[in-house]
Amino acid sequence: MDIANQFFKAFIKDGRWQLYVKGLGITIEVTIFAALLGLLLGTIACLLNMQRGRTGKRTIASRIAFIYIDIIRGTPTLIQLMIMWNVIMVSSKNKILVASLAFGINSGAYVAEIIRGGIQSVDAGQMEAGRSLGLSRIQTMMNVILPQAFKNCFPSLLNEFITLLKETSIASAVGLVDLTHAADLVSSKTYQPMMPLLGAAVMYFIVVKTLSVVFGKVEKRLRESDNR
Amino acid sequence: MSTETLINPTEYAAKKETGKALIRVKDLRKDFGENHVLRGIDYEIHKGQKIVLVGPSGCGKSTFLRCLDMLEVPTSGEVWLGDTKVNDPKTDINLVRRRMGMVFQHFNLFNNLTILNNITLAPVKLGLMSKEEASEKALQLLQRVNLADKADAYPHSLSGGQQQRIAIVRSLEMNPEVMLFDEPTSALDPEMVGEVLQVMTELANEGMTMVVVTHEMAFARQVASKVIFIDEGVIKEENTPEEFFAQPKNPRLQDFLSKVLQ
Amino acid sequence: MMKKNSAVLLAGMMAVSLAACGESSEAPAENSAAATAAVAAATAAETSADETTAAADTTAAAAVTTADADAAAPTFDLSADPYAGDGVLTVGLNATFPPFEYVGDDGNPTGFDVAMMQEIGSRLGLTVEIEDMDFDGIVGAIGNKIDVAATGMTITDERKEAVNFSDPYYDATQSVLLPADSAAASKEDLAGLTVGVQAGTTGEMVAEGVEGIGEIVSVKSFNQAVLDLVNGKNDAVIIDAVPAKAFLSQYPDALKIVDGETMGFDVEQYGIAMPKDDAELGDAINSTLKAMKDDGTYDALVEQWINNYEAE
Repeated sequence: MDIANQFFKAFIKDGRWQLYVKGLGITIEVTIFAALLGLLLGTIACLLNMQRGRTGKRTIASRIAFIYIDIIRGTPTLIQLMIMWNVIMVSSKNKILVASLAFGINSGAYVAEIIRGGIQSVDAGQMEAGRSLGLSRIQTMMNVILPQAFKNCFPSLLNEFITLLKETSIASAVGLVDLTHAADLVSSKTYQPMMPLLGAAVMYFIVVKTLSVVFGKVEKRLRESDNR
Repeated sequence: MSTETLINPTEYAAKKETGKALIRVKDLRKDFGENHVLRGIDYEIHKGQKIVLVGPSGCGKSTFLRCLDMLEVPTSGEVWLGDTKVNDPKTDINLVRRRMGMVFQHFNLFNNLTILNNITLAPVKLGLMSKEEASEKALQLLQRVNLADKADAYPHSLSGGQQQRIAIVRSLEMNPEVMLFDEPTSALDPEMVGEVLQVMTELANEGMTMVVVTHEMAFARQVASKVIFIDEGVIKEENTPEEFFAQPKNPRLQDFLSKVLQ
Repeated sequence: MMKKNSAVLLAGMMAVSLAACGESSEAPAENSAAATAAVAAATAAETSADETTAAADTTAAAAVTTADADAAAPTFDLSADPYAGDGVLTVGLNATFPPFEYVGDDGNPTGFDVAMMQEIGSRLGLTVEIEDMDFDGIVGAIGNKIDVAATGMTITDERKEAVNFSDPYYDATQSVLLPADSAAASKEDLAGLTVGVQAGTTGEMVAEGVEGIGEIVSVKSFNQAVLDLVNGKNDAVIIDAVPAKAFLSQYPDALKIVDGETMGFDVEQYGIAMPKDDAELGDAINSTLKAMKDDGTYDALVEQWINNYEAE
């Protein structure tokens, strides 16, 4: 019963299953921090990116936002993580912090584009009505446009969150023991990668599936309030 | 007929009365790329007047209206609201827009807010009224148009006519000096046009200064102080409604009216 | 205009990151294939000032080699071997371990293990292909993605359960790389420290065996572990002695080494990892190794690749 033996070595021996659970905990922790940071950065970057001055040209803040979105989306996440770890936060020992920052900044660029799509799908008349009442662009954005935009791009935001969850696995490059790294560590002791990797995959899948179901319910409820 | 009003007519009439016109437009021009839509319009609108613009689609009447509150930015020329030059880059347009109300063809109620919040959002966020004051006034206005029971509903659950009446109320909540209407009934089913026109007529009777772009000729005849025909980017004819409809001078206007009037 | 700004910024970021990441240096660019041509290697590596002695040694060595090659080396017919039968010997290694394996100036893996395997391959009539991969995946890949592995891998009982090993070809101890001003001098001093290791190595096992060790940070690349040490994110790195010296030569002022003996670590031996079910290949490789040791080729390789290794 080779399978049983493999299973034992992969999960039971020396209480190895705890490594996975701990790794999963770290994965989730980094994902949540990064997602929140990404949401915040993404919204700000999106609004700044769309901003135009009196003459219709970009403001300085708008240019900065554009460059941020452009560069982050144009370079691999792994490189951004390495730069954050080895260059920008070169004296930090806190892998969770560095990983959360790197992934948050990364996610923000993609969230910015998602929200831009959401905003552009809101009817232009909404902004016109807000402005003609005397509200500023920002006031109209915050009170009228963004709430509708978020509802519109909700599915895309969920996708981004799921991608983020799985992408945190590259943080093993700087030694962060997330779920993937935990599986790696176990298989490097047993020389049998199949069980640990499958086990990790199953755990990722369960988390993603749960998220999808929960978000799906939330989305349904949002849609219901739209029904005529 | 209720004794409540949409605006306070005496208060409105007493508002700063100068010899100057409320709205002045000087050599207003607007190009969209190569398309010269407005080619030099000069006009004055005095307080209490109801100006109605008619004409075929694309003649520039909506563009003219939207230039008044800078929803379109004039290519050249001047727009004045009282003593304020509206299209001056140094002017804070947000302050100017508080003094003007705009009603859109497609209502543009805020879909994510209740009717009550639609109406109170601007005055509260701009610090003009407290939430309580704004709500109280909003309910009064809703009462006036017989929609008080819809205060907690969302726009999507209302008919077009109801939404447009609420849109008018939303603008009135800000106590504007002038109300601009951009084809307010063009997107409505015929049976709802009447209820909206009725509100507009009452508003007119209470003394509000109004600039209206519309195809509703009966309304124009009934309510307008002056009717304007814009063609090829300039005002071709302007007259009292009686003269305008009975004795049109401009050949294109005659042609237009012959097709439109039944 | 925007694209240009972005491009300039990006180039800047990349330049900074490459500089700071401190790519591990490459050895003098010797073409290992040329060098391992038996006698030629010995001659090239000699730095002796005495030309005549060198010449005499060369001819003597040449005579010995040819004689040995003809007489002592048994021939192996591997055409039926399940792994080498295609004429190609795929060798797995993790090129972050100078001077045994590292990425050379030309971007290809090079180093002692590469040179050794190419010599063995040529003697067995096989073409050698190098696969650079993560260390902790190598044992599992023997027999499928790779045929054998020569990667500074220590022979351990646990690994022997999964693969066969050749006769030992190098004795090694783990060393500890430390900041130049560190006071740590024995295994016990490692308690409470953050120690960087490479995933799956005996260094990792040693670290796990230290009582009260602080955090063990295991990464895929020694480059990253040493970089972390230089940047103060680790307190120590446990790594084999020879590569430790190689890394030290890249950061001579920042780091120092405390050797395994002082620390109280066990001596380890490197072996070539091979599939468990292929005794024939094992015999062929062991036999060739022995021949190389007997005829001086092995020593020449050590001299050239290990003793004379200098970081760029």
